[in-house]
Amino acid sequence: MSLTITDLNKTYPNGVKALHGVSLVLQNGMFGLLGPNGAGKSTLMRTLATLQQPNSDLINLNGIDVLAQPHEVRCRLGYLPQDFGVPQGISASQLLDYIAVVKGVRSRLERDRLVTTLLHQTNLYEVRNRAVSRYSGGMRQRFGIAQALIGQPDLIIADEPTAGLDPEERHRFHNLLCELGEDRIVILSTHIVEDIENLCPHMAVLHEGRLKFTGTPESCREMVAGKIWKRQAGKKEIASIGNAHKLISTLARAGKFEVRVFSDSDLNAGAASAGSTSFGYEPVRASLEDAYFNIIRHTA
Amino acid sequence: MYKFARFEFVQRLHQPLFYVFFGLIFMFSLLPLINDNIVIWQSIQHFSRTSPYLIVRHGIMISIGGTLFAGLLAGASLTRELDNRFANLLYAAPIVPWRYVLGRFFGAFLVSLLMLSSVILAIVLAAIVREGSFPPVAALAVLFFAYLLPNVFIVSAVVFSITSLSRRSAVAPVASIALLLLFLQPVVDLKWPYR
Repeated sequence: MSLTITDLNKTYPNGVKALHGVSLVLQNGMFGLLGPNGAGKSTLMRTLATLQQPNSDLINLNGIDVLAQPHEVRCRLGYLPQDFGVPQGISASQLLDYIAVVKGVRSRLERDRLVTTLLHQTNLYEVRNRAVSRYSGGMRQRFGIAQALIGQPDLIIADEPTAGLDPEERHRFHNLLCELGEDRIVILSTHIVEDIENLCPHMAVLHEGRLKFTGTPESCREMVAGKIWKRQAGKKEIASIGNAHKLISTLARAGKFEVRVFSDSDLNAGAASAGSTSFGYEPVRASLEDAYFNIIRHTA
Repeated sequence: MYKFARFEFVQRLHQPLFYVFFGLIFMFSLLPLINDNIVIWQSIQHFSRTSPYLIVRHGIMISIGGTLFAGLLAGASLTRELDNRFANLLYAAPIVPWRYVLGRFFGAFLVSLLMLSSVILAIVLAAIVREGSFPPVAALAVLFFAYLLPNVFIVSAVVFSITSLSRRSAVAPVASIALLLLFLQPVVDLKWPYR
């Protein structure tokens, strides 16, 4: 199974250019799409899900032209949107049954078996008769994945699936996604770096509609390995540090700020001539988050 | 198409609004028939409750008011899924658009028809209570097939179309009220035989 995106562009009627020449090749497995809010992730996901038309591009899912044959793609697609609602008063089993009918599962016996399997798989069996509109955020997301799995899709798109989930629900959701990525393409779109680090062997960084990085999380981290420095700083110092160096992140800790900066050279060099042993910088092991911040803040 | 109609039908039956409208129309139909002191528009105290003329006339009167409810119930069938964001899930599924739209419309239309059929239930109940006999089936059939069914169909279709094209649920009540006013005008001009 492979998904090829070639030179995808999207400009909204109000003139906002959401995607600029995005090209990607995806194979079976989990693929993480990382980017800040407004980066164009949802536009890309909605385009892949055939919910909106791009201005120019070629998208091919295993020989199917996604734009010319949207119905064929939808038959092979499982889509969990960032934001979805459900009709009031309909239970999970009833709603899954309806979506199964919509996705073409005709036999009632087969549907019953499918719905039961999905409810067990997503840990919702105990609450199957409760209205989905009364589910908690985590339960609702698991319901979202359950409906996305109907029809044994080759491509699953999960757009910001863990936003707003508590840590326990997030772990449960991660495990579920991991299982799914074994024999199909699962695209996980998120702005949470940890999600990508935990789940995805391949990733891309999207920023301002442009693809800034494609590769493995390790290769992304390698880009800044040995070049991340940290030091404690007062609030007033942060601006001057930002002017002097490539500021990666600022984290408040016990009334002080831990500042992380990117630099190719030793930031303590020259301290001896200034009459000090160091400027207070110490090298740290680069994280994927450092690499991500460096890409979106300092890569043209 | 059937699957969408069925889902719409079941979904509407889960809504309290259906039962509120059903109850209101039933009470508005029943009360003037069993109590002569309650008058809607004109007194019907001199009529037998099994009179075919009364049955059809009373049914028409109530159904005209009921068009408002029918429009409200059926109008926002499609836009409701945009409002509650269920469309985000559904529109990525392999559905055939015309089947989906027609299915949703017929589901909503049937629910509106069922709601307005409470008029017939009220007429039957009033006839049994007041006259001790079942009203003539032919009169009920005329009321249902010649008036209720086409009225509900027209109102549902017009309000559903306008609301769906505008993609705004708020349009449904406006369109329903406009249709109600259009329906009321000829009634105001009617001269009933007993006046």
